[in-house]
Amino acid sequence: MKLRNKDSMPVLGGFLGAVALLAAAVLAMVSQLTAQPIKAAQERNRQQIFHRLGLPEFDRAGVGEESGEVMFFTVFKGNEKVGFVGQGSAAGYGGAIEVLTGFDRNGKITGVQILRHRETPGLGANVCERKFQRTIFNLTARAPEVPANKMLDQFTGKNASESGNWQVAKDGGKFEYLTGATVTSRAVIGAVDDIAAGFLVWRKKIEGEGRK
Amino acid sequence: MKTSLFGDLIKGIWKENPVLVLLLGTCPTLALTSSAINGLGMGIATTCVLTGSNLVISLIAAITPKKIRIPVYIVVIAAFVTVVDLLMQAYAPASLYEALGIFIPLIVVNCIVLGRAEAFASKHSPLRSIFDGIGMGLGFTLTLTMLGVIREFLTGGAVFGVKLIPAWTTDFLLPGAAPGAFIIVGCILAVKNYFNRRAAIRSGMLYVPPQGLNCRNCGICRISDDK
Repeated sequence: MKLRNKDSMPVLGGFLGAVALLAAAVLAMVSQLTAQPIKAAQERNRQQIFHRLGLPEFDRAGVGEESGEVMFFTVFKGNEKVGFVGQGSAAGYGGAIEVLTGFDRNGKITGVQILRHRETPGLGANVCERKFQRTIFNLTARAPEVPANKMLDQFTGKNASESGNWQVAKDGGKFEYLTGATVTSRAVIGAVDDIAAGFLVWRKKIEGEGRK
Repeated sequence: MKTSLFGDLIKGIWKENPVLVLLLGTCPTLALTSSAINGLGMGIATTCVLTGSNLVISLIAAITPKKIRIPVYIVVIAAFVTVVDLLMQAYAPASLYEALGIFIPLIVVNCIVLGRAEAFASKHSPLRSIFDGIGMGLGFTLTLTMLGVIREFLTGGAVFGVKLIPAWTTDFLLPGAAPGAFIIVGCILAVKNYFNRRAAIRSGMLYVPPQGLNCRNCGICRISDDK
C-alpha cells in the first residue's frame, strides 16, 4: 500500500498535525497557568506608575472610562475621589508615545509620566525618561521615587482649564523643548494638552451624571 | 564521555561561539545590545529557548520524517518561545520586559536556535544536546553582554546603568545605534581572527578561517582569484 510509505502525504501531514496539536495543548496549559500572574503583574505596574504621578494619597484606582481619545481613571481614598488620571497618546518620532497625566480634584496637574515610548535613545528618549543617573560616586544612594525631568516637570502645577493651545516655544507656545528632539517634545506637549482638554470635558460629564 | 560532554558545553563559548565564529543571530546581536542589561536579558531568554528546544528536538528527531523536519522544529521552537514570553510577562521585572518585549517573539527566527537544532540536536543524544544548548546559549549571552558593555560605555560612559565617568553628560549616539553595533562587531571579529591566526602560525599549522569567513569559499568578489 502507498499509505504505508513513511513519506506519503497523509503520514507527513498527520505527524505535523500531531506535533502542532501537542504544542497547542502545552501552550494552552502554560497560558492558563500564567494568566493570573500576568494580570496581577500588569495591574501592579499600573498602580505603581499611578503612585509616581504626585497625586494626593490614595488607596485604589477605579476602572478606566474612555472619553474621546483619552482614558480616564478616578483614584479614591476610601470612598472619596481624591484625584484623576488621564492616559492618552501621540505620535512621536518612533511610534506612539503613551502619556499619563495626574490631576488633583481641582484639575491641577500633579505630574506627568510616560508609560511607553520608542524614541531614539539619547535624543527623544531624554524627553520621555525619568532617569536617576547612578554614578560610581552615588552607587549606594537611594534613587528618588520620581527622578526629575525638566520636560515632564514643566506641566506640574498648571491647571487643566489653561489648556487648549499648549505648544512648544518654537511654535509660538510657552513650553520648553529639547534641541534635537523637537518632534518628541511636540508630541508629549500635544498629548498632555489633549489629555488636559479632554479632562475638562470628561469632568463636566461625570459631574452632570453625579447630579442626576 | 565526560570530556566530550564538557567539550559540548564550552565549545560554544569560544571555539564555536555562535556570534563571533558561526555569525548566527546577528539581528538580536545588533538590535538588542545598546545596553549591557538588555544584552544579558536577551542572552538568558535565548539560552532557555535553545536548551529546551534542543532537548525536545533530539528526543523527536528519530521519529520525525526527514521531509517535514524543518516545520516540526519551528513548531517546537515557537512553542518554547511563547512559553518564555508568557513566563517573562508574568514574572520578569517590568522594565526588562518593556525593553525586550517585542524582540522575544523574534527568537523563533533566530538562526542560532534552528541552526543548533539542525546541526547538532537532531544528530546527538538528548544529554549532549542539552549541554550544547547551554553552552551555545552561554556563548551568546557572554558575547551579547560584552557587546552591551562596550556600546553602553562608548555611548555615555556607563556600564550596567552606572556612570563610570560622571563628567560625560552628552551621549555619543553612534555606538548606541545599529550602525555603531556593526562597526564594533567588525572590530571584535577582526581581533578574534587576529589572535586565532597568530596562535595557528605559532603552532606551525596552516591557519584555516572558519568556513563562513574564508574568502576562498565565496565567489562574490574576485579576491579568490589572486594566487
